[in-house]
Amino acid sequence: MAEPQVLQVSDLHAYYGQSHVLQGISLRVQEAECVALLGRNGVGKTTTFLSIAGLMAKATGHVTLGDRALLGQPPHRIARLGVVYVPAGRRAFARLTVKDNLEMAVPRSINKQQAIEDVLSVFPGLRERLTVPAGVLSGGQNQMLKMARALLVKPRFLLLDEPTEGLAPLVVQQMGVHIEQLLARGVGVLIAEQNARFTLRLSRRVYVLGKGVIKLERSGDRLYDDQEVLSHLVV
Amino acid sequence: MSAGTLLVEVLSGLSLAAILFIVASGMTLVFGTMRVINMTHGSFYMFGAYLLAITFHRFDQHAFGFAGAFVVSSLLVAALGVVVEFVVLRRLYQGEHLLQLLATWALMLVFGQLALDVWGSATVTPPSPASLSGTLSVGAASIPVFYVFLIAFAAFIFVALWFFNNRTGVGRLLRAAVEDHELLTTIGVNVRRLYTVAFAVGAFLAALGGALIAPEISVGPGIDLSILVESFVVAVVGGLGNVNGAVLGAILIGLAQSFGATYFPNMSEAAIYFVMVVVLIVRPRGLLGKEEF
Repeated sequence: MAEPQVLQVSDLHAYYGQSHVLQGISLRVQEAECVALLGRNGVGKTTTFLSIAGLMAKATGHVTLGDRALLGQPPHRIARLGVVYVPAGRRAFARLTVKDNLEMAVPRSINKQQAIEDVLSVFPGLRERLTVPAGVLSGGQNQMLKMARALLVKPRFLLLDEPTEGLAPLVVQQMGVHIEQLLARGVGVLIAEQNARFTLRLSRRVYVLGKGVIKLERSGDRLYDDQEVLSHLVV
Repeated sequence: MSAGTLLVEVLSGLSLAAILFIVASGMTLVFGTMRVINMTHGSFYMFGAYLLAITFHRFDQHAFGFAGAFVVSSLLVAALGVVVEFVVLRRLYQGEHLLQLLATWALMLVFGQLALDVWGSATVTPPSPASLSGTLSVGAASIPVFYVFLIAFAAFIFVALWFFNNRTGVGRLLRAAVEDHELLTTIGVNVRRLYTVAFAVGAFLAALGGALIAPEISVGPGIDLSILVESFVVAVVGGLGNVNGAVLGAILIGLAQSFGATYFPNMSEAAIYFVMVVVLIVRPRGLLGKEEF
């Protein structure tokens, strides 16, 4: 990558019909940086991601990648520009095979075989499941499929929504390793989680979201020990 | 009743089913992918039939001329489908289904009036291609060659659709879009363009049906509405969104029409609705429909 990239969100507002769910969100993620977006259920974490990814019908404000405006662009172009949203939960094309799920994510200009071989070396657990329908994968395998699929799109920034939801502790650890590898390769990662501990260990910056606004922004090396951050997260 | 007349009756029903399947498969494909009930589907069929009537005279009246005429007609209508999707439907995906229904219904009225203004209220029947007219003798029965051709062609379309769906990249994307179109955009797929393709294929199939049957019917005002209703019944009986279901639905409805016309001529119009009611009582989602909407 030639110049350092920044994903910048400023004064982002979003609406579901009449309800004003994001009321001026500003945040930024640099390349090779992990940023946490924390907050309780229903405060707007997913809506923030949907807005960045171009999937909210009504969103205003500014979302930029470097000097390129993303807000208003169609979602597939935002993904192709390298801002890739990985939704929460069991999202896969359940009736298609794992291989199909992966192949579809490979841009046309890239050799499919090689690209898939590359992600399988990162997620070897998927190799023996290539021919089964994605719907039968376990929760952990499904998370790996979601990550692998996102990697194939060639992300510069990943928006991970609840990447450890429902995972066994050992798999959560694996996920942490994968994310650290991505960071080392220069990918910027924005993680939305309710379960703060995992995310805070990876992150050097955190935004705490409450009712559609940023309530707190902190940077530092020991965010998981930061009493002020934690005080916002007591459920 | 002799076996011969029964055979003719069945084949006549299956030839109706052939056209119904081709048209209804387009409707069910569009619904399955885009969740749009396309009321202009009958108009595409009508344009296919009219265009065949026009272009047929430009080609020689042999088999290849017929082939050329209906390929040209269907492609022109597919292009019209692209325009309709681009100009009208594209603006309505976010809104309620009622809006799509109303908009495509309105378009059907516009297209119907347009056809009336351009081609008048008189009906036309393009001549049958020479190589496909005539009859085959099977025992005592004589079977129109055109019936056999229609049935074979519908079988070919079924195989082609299966291949398109299961063995091509676009087909795979369409199957994925049925499951989760939002997820598809997050991996960089232009779902809008995919919808345009699906809609064009739907229009193409409708027009193909219209063009194929044109030599057998009176092409005139009103055929858009009647095929719309019939293909909708076929799609619903089979299970909306399911191409295999459309085959079953078409066979059932085609046979009901054929036998209904022979044995209950006073009620033949009602025969297909009778079948639909019975099927929906037993299987509310249609024969192969899934519990999802």
